[in-house]
Amino acid sequence: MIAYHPTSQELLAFGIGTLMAGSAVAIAAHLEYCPSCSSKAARLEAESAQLWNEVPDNSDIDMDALAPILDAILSAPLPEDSGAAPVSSKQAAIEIGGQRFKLPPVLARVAEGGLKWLSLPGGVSLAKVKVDNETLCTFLYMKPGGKVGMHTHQGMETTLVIGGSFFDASGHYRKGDFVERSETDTHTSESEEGCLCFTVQDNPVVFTSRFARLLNPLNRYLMRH
Amino acid sequence: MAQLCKVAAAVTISDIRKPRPPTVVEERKAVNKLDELLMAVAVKRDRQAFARLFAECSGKVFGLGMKIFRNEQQAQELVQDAMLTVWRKAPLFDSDRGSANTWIFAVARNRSFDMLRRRKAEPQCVSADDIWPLGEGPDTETHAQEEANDFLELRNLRGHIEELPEAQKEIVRMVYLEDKTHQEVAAELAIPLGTVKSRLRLAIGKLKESVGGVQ
Repeated sequence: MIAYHPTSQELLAFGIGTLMAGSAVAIAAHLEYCPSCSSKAARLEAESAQLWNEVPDNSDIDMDALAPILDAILSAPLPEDSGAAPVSSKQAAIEIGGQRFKLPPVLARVAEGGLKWLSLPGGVSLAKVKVDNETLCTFLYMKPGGKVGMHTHQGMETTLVIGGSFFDASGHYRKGDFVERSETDTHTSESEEGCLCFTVQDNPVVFTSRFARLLNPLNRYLMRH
Repeated sequence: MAQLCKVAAAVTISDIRKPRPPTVVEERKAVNKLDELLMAVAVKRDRQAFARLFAECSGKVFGLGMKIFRNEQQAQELVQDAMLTVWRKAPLFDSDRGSANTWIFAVARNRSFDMLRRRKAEPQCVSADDIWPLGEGPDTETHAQEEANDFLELRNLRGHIEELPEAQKEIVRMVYLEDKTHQEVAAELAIPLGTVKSRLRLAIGKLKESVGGVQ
């Protein structure tokens, strides 16, 4: 039973396409696990598409200027696969710590370029992935009994649980859960059975090196690379 | 508009909707003009239908482009990208899942998202079509196909198939009992390939449920 979901506002922004790619990826991954959010997102997208119709036709548009585009499209050769996405050797699962975690297609795509895992104290491993120019995205693995302090000092930290489970003072999070925590949450996360997550930080903070020494090892790593 | 109107005037509704005995599938009425046009492109690669679709939609896409980029050239680039995607990926459109208007909007949103990211030199590891798939991809399809083949070989499912909703029952019958390809089914029923695939996937899911407890 998935207990943590994105808000309606987030799903609306998702449907319109105004979210940063990192956040959009996290939501898209959640939708793979959650049929109810999937329906909700589809409904919001359809509503946004309705607004598109209500905008009065801009009489300034020079339709003659667009006509060559139509010709170009119809005269271009069609690719053989008639529109299906190219089949690629996507990494459909992550194997780590003797556990195998199946990845939803969008995360398989993100992981495709290869993941460089870094072991951190507390039984935690982390692989950064660059998805856009602003958010800080990682795959985070907690081994059974693993523990990590994940303070975010400004902005929001989104965690999508891919497999296994973890808990903090505020709750217990399982596969498919979409968890958002802010700087006011002093979350030390712990996992009994082991856990793989995809995390997104927006507004990651840049500290001067003076302060960096005071941060836990996880944040020091994130700041440095 | 003059050039586009000439092409459009030569085509009438009866050209698109061929008269033939109505099947259960045709209960689904393409009431909306956009749905009819997109279906014609999806099922038959109808060039005149696409020209009319272009006439209907390119203004809206251009307007969206102006809102996002505030630049005529980029707005035109969006029209090019989006309408080219519509032409190429129309077969992925699942008419069961939503309207043509929503699907075309989604295409425009995807292409504008990618354009913005390219302009900002953001990593291309993931694209809009990965985040918002425009239809069943080959991965979901291959996986579902393999599961379906194994499943159907192991069981006598006649009774359970009879209990499926008509639209799904018809597809299962044509693919598994009459041995037709998805493409053949799409052509025969005059529905997009995307719709055939999704109905099949739903049907397999229902069959598993009704048999009960199958992995």
